[in-house]
Amino acid sequence: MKQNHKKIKIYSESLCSSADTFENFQSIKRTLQDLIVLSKKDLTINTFLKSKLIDSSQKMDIFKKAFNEAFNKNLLDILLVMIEHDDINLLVEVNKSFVTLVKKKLNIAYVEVTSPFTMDNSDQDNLAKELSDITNKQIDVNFSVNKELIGGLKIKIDDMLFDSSLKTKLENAKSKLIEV
Amino acid sequence: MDIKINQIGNLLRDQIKNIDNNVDVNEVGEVLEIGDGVARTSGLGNVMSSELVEFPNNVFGMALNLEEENVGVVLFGDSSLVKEGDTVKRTGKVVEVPVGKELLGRVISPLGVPMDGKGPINAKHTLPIERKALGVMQRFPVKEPLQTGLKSIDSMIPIGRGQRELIIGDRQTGKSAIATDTIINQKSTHNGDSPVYCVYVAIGQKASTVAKLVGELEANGAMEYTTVVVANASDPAPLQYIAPYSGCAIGEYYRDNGMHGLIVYDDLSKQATAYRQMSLVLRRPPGREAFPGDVFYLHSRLLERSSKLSEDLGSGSLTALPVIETQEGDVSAYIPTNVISITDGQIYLDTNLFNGGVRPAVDVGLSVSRVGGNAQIKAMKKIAGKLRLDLAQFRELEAFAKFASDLDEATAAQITRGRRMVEILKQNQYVPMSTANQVVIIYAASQGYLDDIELESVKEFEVGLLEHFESKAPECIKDIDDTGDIGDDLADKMNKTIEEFKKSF
Repeated sequence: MKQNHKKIKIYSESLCSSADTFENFQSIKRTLQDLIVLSKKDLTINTFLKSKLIDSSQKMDIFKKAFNEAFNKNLLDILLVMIEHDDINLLVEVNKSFVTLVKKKLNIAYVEVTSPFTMDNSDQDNLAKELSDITNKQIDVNFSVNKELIGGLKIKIDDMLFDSSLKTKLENAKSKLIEV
Repeated sequence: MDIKINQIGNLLRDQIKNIDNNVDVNEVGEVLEIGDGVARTSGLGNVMSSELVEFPNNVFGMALNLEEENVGVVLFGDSSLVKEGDTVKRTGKVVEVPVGKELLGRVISPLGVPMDGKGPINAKHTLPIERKALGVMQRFPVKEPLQTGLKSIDSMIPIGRGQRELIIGDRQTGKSAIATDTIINQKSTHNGDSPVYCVYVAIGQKASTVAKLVGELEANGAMEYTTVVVANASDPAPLQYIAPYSGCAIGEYYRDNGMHGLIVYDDLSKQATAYRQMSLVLRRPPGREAFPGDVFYLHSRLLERSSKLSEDLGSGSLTALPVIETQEGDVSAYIPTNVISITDGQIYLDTNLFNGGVRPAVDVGLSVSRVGGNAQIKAMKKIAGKLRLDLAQFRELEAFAKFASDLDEATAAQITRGRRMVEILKQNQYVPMSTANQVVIIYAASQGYLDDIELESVKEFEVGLLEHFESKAPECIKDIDDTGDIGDDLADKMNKTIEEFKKSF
């Protein structure tokens, strides 16, 4: 367990050093997430990665051939090292640790915006810019729609939730009425 | 509850008026996994240890394990209402309970929620359930007696205000009965100038048992000055774990405001078991008997909060009567030894004595009060010394007498005296006795007035003697109450009254 912790730290720090810009971080993060999803959902890839019958050099060759063009060079190198040491099963934890490290390094805030209706692109850009100005951080923003909110917005910046939705206000009013 | 239509309108209008201005700002996390009443959450980076956190569906929890990657939260409510991925909010508050006299006569949960259907508790004050025990300089030696109303305890194992006296014994030996009688006996203090307010904390007991107890307290008029904190056997382990701390905070309010409090923890073995369950689910390493390493601190930090305050702080006190259940009389098990070492003495209840009809089944040899005579009135101190000695000699000779058919006169006399002493220390439940009456009957026995009374008639003699004193010599009772001592004059008068009664018996 402790050994894994050390390995996760080494891999995530190596990945972090190669993510020197916000765009770079976004691309590495997206690739890692896709790889994680694929390895979980695709039985062929999952079996290939876990198989003890295929030796690591063979796995590395296949990986290289498949992703040489598509992946960032540093990322591919780190993934190859992980395969070589049979550590590819640590990918989920490495990704988590990598995101945390880069967020600190590049001063990035993770923002989730939930609205009761789809916001158009200009609104999304304006909101992202406003949030970036307010937080004084680069923001990694995700927009989602939840009709149950009725009105207002829910904005989650890292661990802080700013909730101006009508649903929450009505719930608060309900609990106050019950208290009376 | 009646609420008028215009009130509803106003409340809604107020809410709607502010609707655009208010934004709920909360620090949140996400439930990673949930099971066995414990949730692991991500986020909540600034959460405090023991902070109350809120899950959806009005379920609350307490943050206990603050780890690098996640926070372990124990749930106070139904864990089936919380699912993976749910948002959990910080409240910024550690767990608090309402305190004050508004709680008297109420039955509440460890979170301060009323459970007696008597409406909301409008307490003006709240206190965090976990508070640091007072230091040496804030304390004062235990000197004032706290009368239990039980002859065997008040005479030989006196309890002082601010003391921690453990009640220990196997199941069905009358542990709760002693605690209940002590609460009932505090009624007499409410006629004087230093009333004792009581808190009864029921941990892991059957709801029916607690209902019966509340009924008895009500029937004896004791609920007027008592609060009952209940975490039933069916409640989640975290509620059973915090129940004693909640009760203690309620008791501390009286202590800190110059009043006197009495708290009964019934029982701490079940609290330790609940804590063990919680700790194992939180993946804390188990130790002896699978209890976590900090189980000693669990009880020591609780019992250290009972204390007698110095004059500067108002001279208030909080007396604790923790209860521990042993298995087959094994006092050397982990939890009993821990609590014995923390408290200022123990009342040991013995199954054989209980089955032999000695009730309360106090084993005088194993029971002790480390505060000793400091917490006794002079009169009791004078007669109790002799009583202890007589009983000790009796115990020694009784075993011997079983084998010997012929006994010399002195030994036979000692056995006779001892048997009568044991008989007068027997007492029924819910009939606590005033200190003056206790002094009278123990005085009569220790002076040998009962030696020629048939063993079966001792009870009858006791009742008759007390009635006789009440009708023929009430000044003796008053004298004991007022002076707390037996002077020569009073002793003469008492001797005369007893002899007079004996002639008519």
